[in-house]
Amino acid sequence: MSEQNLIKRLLDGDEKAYQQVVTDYHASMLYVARAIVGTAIADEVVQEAWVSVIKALPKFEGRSSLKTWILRIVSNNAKSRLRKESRHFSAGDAADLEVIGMPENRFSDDGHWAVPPQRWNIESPDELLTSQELQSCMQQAIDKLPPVQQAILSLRDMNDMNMTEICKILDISESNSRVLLHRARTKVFQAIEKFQGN
Amino acid sequence: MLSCKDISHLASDHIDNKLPFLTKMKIKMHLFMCHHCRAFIKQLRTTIKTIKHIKPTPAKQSVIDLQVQTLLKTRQQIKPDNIDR
Repeated sequence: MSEQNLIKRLLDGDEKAYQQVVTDYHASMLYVARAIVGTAIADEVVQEAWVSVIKALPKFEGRSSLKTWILRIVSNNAKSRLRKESRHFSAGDAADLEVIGMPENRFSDDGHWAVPPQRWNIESPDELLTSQELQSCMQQAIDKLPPVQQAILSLRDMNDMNMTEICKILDISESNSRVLLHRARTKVFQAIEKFQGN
Repeated sequence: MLSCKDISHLASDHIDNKLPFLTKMKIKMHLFMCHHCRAFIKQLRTTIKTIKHIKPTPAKQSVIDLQVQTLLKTRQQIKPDNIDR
């Protein structure tokens, strides 16, 4: 179904179209809300955002994809919720709390590998994806990521969204977002590495 | 000269082609000499390609159904006078 057709059907109140957008976008909306307001009230923010989406849909001009537009609404609702509660959170704050990528103990003092990457038995993405167990292992690693890293990894690598757009949605600088993306990727890398070692 | 640790920090930016020319050249020189870092970059590249095919943990069907019903009800309540057409 083309996006225009989907929007028309949403405007007409077609239940199947509603099923489709909620199924396709709900998880990404939650990632964005959790990254901005935290896990406790993210569900509530997403509920409110859905209502805003329905109200504003007739005004959607198609300047961005429907998904980007919806995620911007989630972001605005989440930020306004923070303002109402006089809370402040900057996704960028989370950038300084951890090492940049691979754990420090993988390197010796002179910066060389102390524990180098092991050879993987399964080397191609296609082969990796045939293992249900590995997929669930990667999914668990993603679920364990801090909310902001989860949101960036999901929007960038799983949804192929433009980094500038992600930074706007999460209110974060491009340099911080790249550090957080790298951290998230290396954690998933370590999950695959551990799986391959077993 | 970049260390292996530096390479591991710059790996995503290298893969996404986000580094200045000089840094890229320094990385290429290091990779030419270091098979551990070559393996790391290759495996991280594979990781990223694999992540692209992982679907986010989906919401439960009951949650989706409830959300859809709530939205359809909301839509009826705001139609026809209050909807922003």
